[in-house]
This record gives sequence, structure tokens and C-alpha cells, in this order.
Amino acid sequence: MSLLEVSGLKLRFYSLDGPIEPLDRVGFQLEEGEVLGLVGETGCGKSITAKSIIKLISYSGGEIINGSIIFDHEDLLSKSEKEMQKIRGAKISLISQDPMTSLDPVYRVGDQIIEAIQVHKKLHYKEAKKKAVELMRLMGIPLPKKVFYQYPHELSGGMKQRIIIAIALSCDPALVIADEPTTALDVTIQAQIIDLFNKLKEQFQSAFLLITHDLGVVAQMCNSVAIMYAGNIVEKGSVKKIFHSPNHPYTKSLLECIPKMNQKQKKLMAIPGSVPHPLHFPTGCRFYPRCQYAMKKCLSQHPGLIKVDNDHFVACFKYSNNSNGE
Amino acid sequence: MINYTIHRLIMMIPVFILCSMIIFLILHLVPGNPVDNLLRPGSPPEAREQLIIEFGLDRPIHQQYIIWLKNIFQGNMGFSITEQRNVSELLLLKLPNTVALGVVSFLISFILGILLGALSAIKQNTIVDYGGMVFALLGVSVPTFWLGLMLMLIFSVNLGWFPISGYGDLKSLVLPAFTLGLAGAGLIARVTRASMLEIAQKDYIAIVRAKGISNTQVIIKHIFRNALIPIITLLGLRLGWIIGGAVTVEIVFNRPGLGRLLANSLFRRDYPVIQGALLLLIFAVMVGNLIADILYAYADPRIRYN
Repeated sequence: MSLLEVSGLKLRFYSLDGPIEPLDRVGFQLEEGEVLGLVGETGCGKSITAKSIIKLISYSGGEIINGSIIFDHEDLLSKSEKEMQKIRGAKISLISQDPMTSLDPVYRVGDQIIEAIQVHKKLHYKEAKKKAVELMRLMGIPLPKKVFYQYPHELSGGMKQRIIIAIALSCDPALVIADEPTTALDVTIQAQIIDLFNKLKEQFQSAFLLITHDLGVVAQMCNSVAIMYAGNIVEKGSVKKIFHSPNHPYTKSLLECIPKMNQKQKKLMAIPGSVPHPLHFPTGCRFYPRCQYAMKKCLSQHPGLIKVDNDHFVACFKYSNNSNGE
Repeated sequence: MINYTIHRLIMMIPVFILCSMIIFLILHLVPGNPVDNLLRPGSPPEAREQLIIEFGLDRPIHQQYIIWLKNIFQGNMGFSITEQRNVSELLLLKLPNTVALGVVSFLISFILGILLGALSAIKQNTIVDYGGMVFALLGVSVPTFWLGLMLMLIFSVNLGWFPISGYGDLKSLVLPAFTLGLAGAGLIARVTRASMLEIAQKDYIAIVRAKGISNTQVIIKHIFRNALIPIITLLGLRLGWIIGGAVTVEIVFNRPGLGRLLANSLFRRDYPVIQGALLLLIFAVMVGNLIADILYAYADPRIRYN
């Protein structure tokens, strides 16, 4: 049994233009200590997948209408809000996209780390503070005792991200969901944060669900990867398989978009078209309007995930047994 | 923090002087002359001239202003032209009534407004929210004099719970205080609701929730705490209103107060009284803003340290 098993996840939001279902049939597994990358373009549903796992999506107006989320042998969807509060922060924690807006501006950063420790571990302020300072040191924050008393606006983006990571790891969670932890940072800080993650993942033995649109980050940090397109998982497998023998046309195009160091290229590759709006998702395979291999079948039928290898799955009719090829 | 306060205090001086100048000039632009109210009909023109010279109204306007301002800084607000009394004496006589009404209606509007706004935000898009917002809209848009008359009709004339007018005891304060307080409560409820809903969508609230903090804690410690800033702005503005907001209500409920004194003095063109009352009002607004500025610094560390 895996640590986290998401299957058939379907999400609905209500908008003025009618219901929107940005996620459909999303499923993946995460083993203990594993780092899974969830990759996709902006707007494909990565962040709401993250929020769904800890059931925070209702606070954004969304509703999980189908599927199951099994974490540590427990069905999270049947849990009450009270029970979820015991899991959030303690067993599953969240690192969000933009460190600039992820800390409460009116509290000292130290107290924000302590808040997380105190709610789950009944520690006195003094002990909690000791632990917080220790965590800050682990995150590579210089002068942690001084930074403890500073407010978020006094810290740089990189420092804030370190604080947020400290908060996420404060109760030794089994799973950390990191929603684009490096996107808002500049490249040098990005590299530092990635190094930090690689260090922490050994130290804390937590599993990581890393949400990103940066394949470089995936290559550096992940064991396996799931590619998402328009609210569907289109391909998943080990990093090796996905990077060396991608099957889905979308994955292939994504990898081709990365400029190569050893080749002279006049123009950067781009996938023609754009991600459809959730109100206007095509029926059948959601990628077919942009796919160069699209067949008749793709217009009307939704391809399910098909096993290509032991650790490699793809959702494309090109690879199903009964397909007639291109 | 002390530097910040001193800075704010010093900033008040030029504002005060500028305001006094504007009051003085505008007042003297209004047609009419206070001495006309003192003369019996049919008095000879010489008597009028005599009075004008006596009150110094024949001097150039800048001279009049400088004399007045000098006196103000010496604690002398002048002499009422129509009431034959010191202006300061007159103001002090009316002030307690106005302040009592102002403070009580201020408390009503904030307690009611914040409770209603917070409740509407927490129960967004439910019947509670809709009810609260309809109430707030009515509070903001119903004119005070009408609301006053209606409350009077229901609670004084029909039910006989409270006196129709009068002053001095708590019972006579209830209706005017609610009339004034409800209007403020509507505004404050709307601002509180909007501010809380905005904060609730911030990234850091999601992070706080992801820590496993209970919903009540999230609302009180994080959402409400951060939503306070615009509420404090209103608080500062409303503090000034404690003294200046009661004109209509004082007239409707026939309460002797600063607002009614101001209105009556305006009709009589009693320059020294109007100027004195307006200065007091401006002073109240400035003190209100000063308090709001200091509260801002307490509420928001980003302001405190800049």
C-alpha cells in the first residue's frame, strides 16, 4: 500500500458561466520517502490538485465530486474538518507558490513557526521556540535567533521561502506538498532552495509531492513524475522513463521545448495552440486539438491510462492495443 | 514608535492653521452680516455702522483673521455676537451633551458593525449574509432625520418606552444614539465584510489552514487581525464624527448640543461661534486621525517600522 493514493479525482467549481470541472480522473500514487513531480502548464490544475489532497479546496469554493484520496490507509474524503485539522501540518503539510505572500504580515516569523509546532505538539512556548530556532538553523537561515523576531516584510524572498519550508517540516510530516516552491524565486536562490530540498529529503524522510512546470527541477529532485494536461494526468512514470522514452505526444513536445546546450537552434520550439479553458474542454482526449497524431477516436473517446511498462503509464490511443496506429 | 507619534503631532499644526484659514475665509464669503440680527427693524444706518466698527468687522479680512488666530492661541475664542457670551463658555456648555451622544453612537456603530460584518463574511452567501447586507445597505442609505422620526414614532409615540426628546438621562439618549449609530454600523459592516473576504483569499491564510489551525483561530487570529486596517481608517474618521456628526439628530430630537448650536449660529451669521465650533470639530477630526495613525502602527508592523 502506498503512502498516498489518489484515484479518479474530479473537482467542480461553480462559476457564473456554469459549473467548471477543472480536474477529471486524476490519479497517482506516492510511496513513503518518494519524490513525485507533478508537471504541467499554468492552469492545468496542479495547484488545485494539491489543495484537494488536504481538503482545503472548499475554502476556494471547490467541491470534490468524485474519486478517492487514501493517505496512510485512511480515506481522507470521509474525514470531518476537525479530523483533517489533525492531519494538516502534522502528517501532510503545504509549501505554497509565492513566498512573498505566504506569511502572515502581522506576526513575527518565529511565532508563525511556533504556531505550527504548538498546535500539534503540546509544547510550551520555550520548548517550541527552541525547536523553531533549530529548524531555522537547519534551513540555512543565518542568525536564526535574530530572524526569529523579524517580520516577513524584513526578509528576502529566499529567506521567506526557508521559513515556509521550516513551517512545513516542523512536525515531521510524512508528506510535504510543495506547490511550485521555486517559481517565484530568481535562479540563484532557486538553486539554493533545490539544494536545500535535496538535503532535507534525506534528513526528514518525508515524501514530497513537487508541483512545478520546470522539468529541470524535476530532473534534479524527483524519483517519478506525472504529466498533467487540462485537468488530466496524461503520462506518469519514473523520471528515467519519462525523460528518455516519453510516449504521450504532449510529453514529447514538452521535452522538445527545452533548449539544448549542444545544438544550435534558431528558434525555440513551442507547442501550437494553448491550454483550453475548463469551460471549453474538448470531449474525448483533451489534447487532440493540439496533437499532431490525432485520430478520429480521439475526438469522442477519453483515453484511459494504459500500462506501457512496469513503471510507465500513458493516456493515449496511439499505444492502446486495439488502436490502428496513426 | 515615539518618533512616529511626534512626527504626526507636528504635522497637525500646519493642517490646523490651514483649516482655520479656510473656515475664516469661507465664512466671510457668505452673504449677510451678523449685526443685522442685533438691530431692531427700522434702526438708523448709523447704528449699524456703529456696531460693525464695534465688532471690528470693518477691518480688512486678513487683519481680522490674524487678530482671531492670535486670540485663539491665547485661549480666547472670542465673544458671541448674538448670545452675549464667551464662545468657549458656550461651547463647553453644549459639549457634554454632544460627546455623550457621540460616544454612545460610536460604540453602537462599531460593535454592531463589526459583529454584523464579520458574521456576514463568515457566513458568506447564506441568508445571514444577505440579511446583514440588506440591513447595512439600509443603514447607509436611510436618511438620519427620517430614521430618527420613525424610531420616535415607534418607540416613543406608540410604545412609550423612551422620551420623545430631552437630555440629561440615559433613557433620552437611547433613540438618538441608535439613530446615529445605525448609519455608522451599516458602513462599518460593509467594510468589515469586504475586508475579511479579501483577506480570506490570501495565500497566507491557505498556509495557516494547512498548518492545521482550527477555523475559529484562523478567523480571529489571522483573517480578522489582518482585516483590521481599513476598519481602523473608519474608526479614525468616525472619532471626528463624535463631535460633528450629530447636527440632524440633535435637531430632530431637540437636544441642546454642538451640532444644533452650529446650525443656529450659521443662520445668525454669528462668526465667532461658528468659527469656534468648526475649529473644535476640526480638532476632533485631527485627533481621530492621529489615534487611527497610531493604531495603524500597532496593527501593522509594516507601518511601524517604516
